[in-house]
Amino acid sequence: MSSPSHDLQQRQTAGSPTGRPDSYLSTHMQSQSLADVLERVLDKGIVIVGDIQVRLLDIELLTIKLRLLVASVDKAKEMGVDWWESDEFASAQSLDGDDGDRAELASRVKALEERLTDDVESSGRGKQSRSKSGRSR
Amino acid sequence: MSSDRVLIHAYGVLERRTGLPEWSPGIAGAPVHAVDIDPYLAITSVLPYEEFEPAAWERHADDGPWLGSIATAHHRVLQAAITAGDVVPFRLPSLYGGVDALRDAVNGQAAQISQAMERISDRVEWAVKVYRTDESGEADEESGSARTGRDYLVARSREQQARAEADTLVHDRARACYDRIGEICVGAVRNAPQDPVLSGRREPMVLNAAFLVDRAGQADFRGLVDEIAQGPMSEGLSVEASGPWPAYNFASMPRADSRADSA
Repeated sequence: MSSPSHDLQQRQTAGSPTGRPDSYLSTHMQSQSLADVLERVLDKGIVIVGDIQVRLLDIELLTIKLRLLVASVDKAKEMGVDWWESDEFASAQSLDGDDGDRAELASRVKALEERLTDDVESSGRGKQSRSKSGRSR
Repeated sequence: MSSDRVLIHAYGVLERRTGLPEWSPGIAGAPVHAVDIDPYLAITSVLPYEEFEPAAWERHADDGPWLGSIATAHHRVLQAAITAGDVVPFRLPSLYGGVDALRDAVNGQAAQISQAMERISDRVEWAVKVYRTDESGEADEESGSARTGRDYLVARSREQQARAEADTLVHDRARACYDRIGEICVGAVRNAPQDPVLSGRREPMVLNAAFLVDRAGQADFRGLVDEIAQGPMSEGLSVEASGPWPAYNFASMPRADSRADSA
């Protein structure tokens, strides 16, 4: 299960993701790092709500976790190991710099978590069964 | 049991009047297909359901390599697409139960997509990052040599003041670079500076900006960035550009640019 993604990643790191013929000086292109890619792909671009996503409330939660990760030091160090150990979003406070951004994220996370909790309580089910039973078609 | 069940991943939509690029493999090595969704071409891959269903995302929520490979593959496809034409990138995760669901989703947000397409028409994104290279070494030595507690406190407060002034100067300079570059661009946005761990650089990042640039204006853009990078405007700073990127930062309405310099 994990081997295809590992292979994929190796292929990707081997070849420049930006090998465009008209690209700028190579020194400039080198700065197009994984962090740059994550920052954009997880946080930018249009959000198109699809049927799969509608069913899964915490997809946005996941995206926000990833955004926090990109902003986080200790956890990013361990890319792929333990991005967030305890799910404690409060630990976002320990990140330094750019408090406004973090505060915005933290409040959105809180709101989402409340929605999740409400959802679980009202249906009396856990996460897994909720996402399975949530299919309407 | 349903091993044939699939999901559609959509990378984004491409304007239809352009030719298609040569696609390299997409997420999980899946082939990339263009699906006609009038008036666009949706750039898609078909993925095995078991590996990418919502529960799989939950399972992999702390799996860096898994997420990193998806993000990188998503980006690579979009990066190839901008060689062919204008692309509105979709944010991850971007999964649909089938082509009909994707069609519904795209049609359901036709207005947002068409606004985005208009905004980025014939334009690409360039990133400019500014690092602080003047880092005055730790000034603690001075206060360390103070004789009395009072001397120490005085020296300490002087250092702090000097440091604050240097910080202000650096941020003003970075801001001036951002403003100057923005003058020749169609759009500009500042994102949170990346931590050294993420940037892979020792120097602190003081500006992490993205600009929307006319395709025809890229040479001018690069010329200006080089001029700034080599000129007095960026004294104590290292100014670096990367691009062209798909216009991630300009596809959705950029958030108000109020957070970067709230201090």
